[in-house]
Amino acid sequence: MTAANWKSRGKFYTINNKKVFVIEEGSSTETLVILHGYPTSSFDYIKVLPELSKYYRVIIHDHLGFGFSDKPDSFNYSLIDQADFALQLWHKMGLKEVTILSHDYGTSVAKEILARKNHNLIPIKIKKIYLCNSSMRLEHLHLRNMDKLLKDKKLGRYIARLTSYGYRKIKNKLRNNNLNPEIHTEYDIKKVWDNLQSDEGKKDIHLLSDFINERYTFWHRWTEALKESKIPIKIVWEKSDPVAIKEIAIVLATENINDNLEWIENVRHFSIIDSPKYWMTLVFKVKNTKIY
Amino acid sequence: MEASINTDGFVTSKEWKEKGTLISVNNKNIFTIDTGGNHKNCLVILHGYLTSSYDYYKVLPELSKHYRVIIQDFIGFGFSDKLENKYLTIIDQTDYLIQLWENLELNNITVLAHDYGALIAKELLARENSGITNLDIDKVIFCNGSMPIDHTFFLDTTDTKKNNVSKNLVAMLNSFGVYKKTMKNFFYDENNITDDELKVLWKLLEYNNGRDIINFTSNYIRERKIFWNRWISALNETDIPVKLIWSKEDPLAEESIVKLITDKLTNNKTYWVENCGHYPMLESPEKLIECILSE
Repeated sequence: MTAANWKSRGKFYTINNKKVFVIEEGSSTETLVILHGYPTSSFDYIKVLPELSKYYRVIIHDHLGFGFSDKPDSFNYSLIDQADFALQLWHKMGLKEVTILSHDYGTSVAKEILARKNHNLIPIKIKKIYLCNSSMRLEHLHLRNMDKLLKDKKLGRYIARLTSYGYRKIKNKLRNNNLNPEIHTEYDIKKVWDNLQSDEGKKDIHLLSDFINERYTFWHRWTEALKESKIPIKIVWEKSDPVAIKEIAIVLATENINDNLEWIENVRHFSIIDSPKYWMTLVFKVKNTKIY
Repeated sequence: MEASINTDGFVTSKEWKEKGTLISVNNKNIFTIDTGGNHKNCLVILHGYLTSSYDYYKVLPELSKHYRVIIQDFIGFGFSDKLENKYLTIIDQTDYLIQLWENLELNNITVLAHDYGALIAKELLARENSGITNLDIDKVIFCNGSMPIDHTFFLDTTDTKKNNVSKNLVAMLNSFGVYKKTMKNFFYDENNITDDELKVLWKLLEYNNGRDIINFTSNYIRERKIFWNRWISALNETDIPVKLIWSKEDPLAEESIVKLITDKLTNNKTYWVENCGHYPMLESPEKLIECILSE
């Protein structure tokens, strides 16, 4: 499967005069909408899509500024814009009830949508939300003094890593984040990068990454959204995360976590690419299925 | 404007509190004044940063003859709930505002937004433009609202602006004496605000330990940066008529901002208030009313 094949598998919708690339597969009455991570695209789901679409009508769109969606030549897109954008798309597609699966960057978009839902501002029904390899760790790291930690050495490095992507860096990041790097072929990663580069996507990347600041700004809004949620939420996270494991433990111990929250541990950041079957089993508890 | 308007009748904070009620939105109490009456149009006032609905005590009686006027204290200000250890973003404030409007069943809305309130008005426009909301907004009036129009502001990666604002706020809120002195600087003539008025403003700030949590809320400066694109686009894309009422001698939201804003808008009209600082509702109430009412 090449990037061009992937493109031909989807179609384009127009939202606010901007083109959005949408993959839509499966004919179940249950709809699963997917919010992809940073700085990749819908392509992340290529390996799990055949299996997922047996159980769901799966809808994945490339966020504005990513993948094959438009990358207009303006300044930045906030996570709030991305949430508006997803809601508009889903409305246009006539979706009434959805299950949301989100990964990385997409989890922030999902949390914003959840906040609006809690405030009764959106009509769409949400059955369940999956937050995979969530951005939780960054936020929790900054629980006590967000401003100070912005200047933190560890974090500064993290931000730098996110904001200065090159092909080589993506490759290294993917490898470092996965325990079995041999699974990656040069080919796979090259495709992700090609995708990112299409339509001059590359030049926007440092502007898109202002979302780190948004996560501090909206920390209260989004943690409250999780706490207040009446929708079941599954949080899939990385137990072996070297950065924030202690902090997460502290937060969990001190906060009154909503009964609707369910935690699934030990899912690596790009499991979806390097061990799709493992990912499917953990996330959806789908047994006896062959992904390859 | 008729000369018969009495705008000099001082109102105490207690009297002001009696004019409104606490309305619960998502378990948070929002102090709201709703003048009601049999008017076709509503005027919703969005107050500025650090102050509250009380800013409008001089203009409310006259405005309520022409509109059903709604003024609410934003959460964190005035008589509304002040949340400890929690920062409410512009996005949160907008959510609460929309829910409050639904609660009050408002139609034919004119929004009057001052200072910080202008950011909330722009967020309302952004949502309206994208069709996420369907609010019945007829017109938006921006009044000395600080807007991040300048590109260089957006490109500032050091958060200098936020740090400066925070620093100034800490100093300003140190004591009533410093507060009084700083506030007077925002007026064209410092005698245009009385000590009694300043005492009420200070009291409202202190209400429910508000002074202890206020610095936290200055995070909105960061939001102006995050949403630069969103809010400029909101102005660019809106088809709702916009009116600007600007006092010329405002040291905070300077005269030059007006041109930058009107360049973004297609349908707009500007009214100037002469010899007036950042608070025209307190310093030139008659003129402000005249500008609001004129078509």
